[in-house]
Amino acid sequence: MTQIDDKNNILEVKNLTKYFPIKSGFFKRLVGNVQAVDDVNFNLIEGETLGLVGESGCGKTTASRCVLRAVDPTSGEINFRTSDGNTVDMASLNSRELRPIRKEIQMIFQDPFSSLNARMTLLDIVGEPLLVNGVSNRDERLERVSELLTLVGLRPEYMQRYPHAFSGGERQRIGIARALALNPRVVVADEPVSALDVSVQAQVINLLMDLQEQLKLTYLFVAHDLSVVKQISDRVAVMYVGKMVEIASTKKIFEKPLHPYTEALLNAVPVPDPRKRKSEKKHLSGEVANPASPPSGCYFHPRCPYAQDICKTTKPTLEEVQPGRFVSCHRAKELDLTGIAK
Amino acid sequence: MNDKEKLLSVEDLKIHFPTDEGIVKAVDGVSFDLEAGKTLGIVGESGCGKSTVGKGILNILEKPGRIVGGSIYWNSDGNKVDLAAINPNSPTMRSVRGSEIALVFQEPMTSFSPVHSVGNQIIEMIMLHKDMNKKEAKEWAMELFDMVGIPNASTRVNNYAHEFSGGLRQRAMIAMAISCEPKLLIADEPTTALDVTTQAQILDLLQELQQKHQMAMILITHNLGVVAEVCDDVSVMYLGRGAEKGPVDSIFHDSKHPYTKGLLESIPSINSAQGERLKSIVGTIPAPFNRPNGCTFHPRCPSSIKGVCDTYTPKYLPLNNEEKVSCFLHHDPEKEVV
Ligand SMILES: Nc1ncnc2c1ncn2[C@@H]1O[C@H](COP(=O)(O)OP(=O)(O)OP(=O)(O)O)[C@@H](O)[C@H]1O
Ligand SMILES: Nc1ncnc2c1ncn2[C@@H]1O[C@H](COP(=O)(O)OP(=O)(O)OP(=O)(O)O)[C@@H](O)[C@H]1O
Ligand code: SF4
Ligand SMILES: [Mg+2]
Ligand SMILES: [Mg+2]
Repeated sequence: MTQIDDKNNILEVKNLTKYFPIKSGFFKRLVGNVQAVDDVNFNLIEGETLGLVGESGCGKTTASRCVLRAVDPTSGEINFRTSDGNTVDMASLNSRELRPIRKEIQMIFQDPFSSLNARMTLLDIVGEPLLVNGVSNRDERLERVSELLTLVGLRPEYMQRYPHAFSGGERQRIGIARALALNPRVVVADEPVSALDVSVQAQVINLLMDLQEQLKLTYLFVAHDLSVVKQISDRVAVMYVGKMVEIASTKKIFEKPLHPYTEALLNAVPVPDPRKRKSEKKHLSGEVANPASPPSGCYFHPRCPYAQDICKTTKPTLEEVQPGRFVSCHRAKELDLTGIAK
Repeated sequence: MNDKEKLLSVEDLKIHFPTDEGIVKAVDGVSFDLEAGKTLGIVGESGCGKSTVGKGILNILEKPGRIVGGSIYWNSDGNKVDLAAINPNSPTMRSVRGSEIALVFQEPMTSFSPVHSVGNQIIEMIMLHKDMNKKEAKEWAMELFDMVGIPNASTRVNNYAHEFSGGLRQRAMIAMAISCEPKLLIADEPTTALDVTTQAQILDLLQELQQKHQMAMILITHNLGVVAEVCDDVSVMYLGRGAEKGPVDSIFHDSKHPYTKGLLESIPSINSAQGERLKSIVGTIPAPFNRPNGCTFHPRCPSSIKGVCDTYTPKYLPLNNEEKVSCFLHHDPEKEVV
């Protein structure tokens, strides 16, 4: 029986795994697997923003797409509490069964330039999900699209224009309007402001925060920019080579991380204040491990300044070390790590 | 800073691209100077002309780009040459490009040829500009690989660019750029495509090389955090023009131009509180052929003065020895407007 453990959660992801096969040679023989997402657990509390961070290739996009079933997981559960109060394991549904649930979870993409069809007008782009979901009356669609455009700060008069007539920030607003067309409850945003200039980035972040308040949305917010993540997230989840290494409230994770990788990430973020230059630099050496052949034990051990013998041999598991604080590190309880000073 | 100490001094530089649709004034009045061993940051949002300034200094502009005004004084061992005035193909310009000023590009993938090994490309570059035979050049290349932190130099020199990760590729780019021991390194978004941890490594490396070799650096970036971490001076650009320049501390703590203030307020900082709304600059950057009259920033400026900012173009004038600003809040419009 599918079940949500905590009634505050709208979504619970359990043991989520996604392997991409690596095939080689003339006969396309299977030679290995990219372990893009490797036994990952996390949940979304209704109404919150969970920031998902980690370096390039660590599996953020794959994990977030699994949540929408835009990618089919290899194994694991994605338990979702639907608007009628039932709980379904989305990982086990076929495409017909998924249909009604898809409305409730929508996506905002990174690249406002390539994610919009250049030959469609705003009306068609934002109205498409409505049409597909049975709003066949044109006037009704027009009205809803105009409402959505107003909601994201665009003028409804622009409805007949094509995407090329809009700036990057405006295109991102179009993408947001489209994602909101079907009144979703959860929005997965994959690097939604990464391609934008700073002045425009701020406008879009503010818009996302306003919409969340107004529409009681739950966000899964994927980004590699920790400053942006800090701004918008209630909680933060950190991934490293397909694994979840730490989850905690934004305040706690930034003030005092429990995983050495989180500490290293925080330490590497440049602070926009020349008076706060770090006198002593503790930067990570080496490079991210290859997810097709991850190291033994803790995947972070070859780069970890605190690694001991056990780290080389035994995989740590994600454990709740304090209420609401999850970390996957053998030494989490004894280490005294530094976050960002106030 | 007196004239003798200046390594580079750019004055009212203008670079235009005449196209079928009209003239793109990519750089339209930028001035700054740089002392030996110091780091200047050039910041501003996409399309404001940062890369064009970088390429303009070496006069390697893409067609139909052309320097149409201003000067670029380069102090080559006490000889002052105006790089803007000499033929881009002259021997002087070639020698400046090869051995005095080096450039690290925004896109490391396109900077190496895919059909030759990275090592061979660096070796060729060394032999072209230094008096070394192949064997010596190879040894120097391996030494450079070590210097920039590429492990297993002896096997790595035989690798092709696609066999390198993003971080290693950027290190190789830097190795090539410093192979001729330049006095000035122009780094155009050297870390933009990289993860924060790799970015931190590359910035450390650049600073270390700089200290060791007394090399000056121009760091082109849109990341204000990076600027705050490594630059001595900053030049802020908006729509091809210098908005403001000054020491890094005054730019971040006592900025004069409303655009700089707006930029600083727009960035979420790792130090700022969660859930706070950011202040943002209203509107968007105008298209190249649609530049506003007067101060090009006036439609977005919260302090714009009616009848002045929308009518007259502010000059880029010094405030004191160190700072320059282009804004009527700091210059008397009466005196400037004729
Ligand atoms: N369709 C695919 N086929 C094979 N491998 C894939 C596929 N999609 C992703 N991968 C691999 O899975 C791993 C995780 O990729 P993913 O895109 O999820 O990372 P990410 O954290 O979103 O990275 P980025 O920050 O660069 O967007 C990477 O090693 C990637 O190369
Ligand atoms: N070859 C070209 N032909 C026509 N216009 C050009 C050309 N190269 C650049 N431009 C224009 O010149 C202006 C400045 O471009 P530049 O690349 O210098 O900006 P930038 O500040 O480096 O931007 P980014 O942060 O995106 O790298 C832009 O409006 C650009 O479109
Ligand atoms: S000159 Fe005027 S419009 Fe321009 S930035 Fe200054 S105050 Fe604003
Ligand atoms: Mg991704
Ligand atoms: Mg550029």
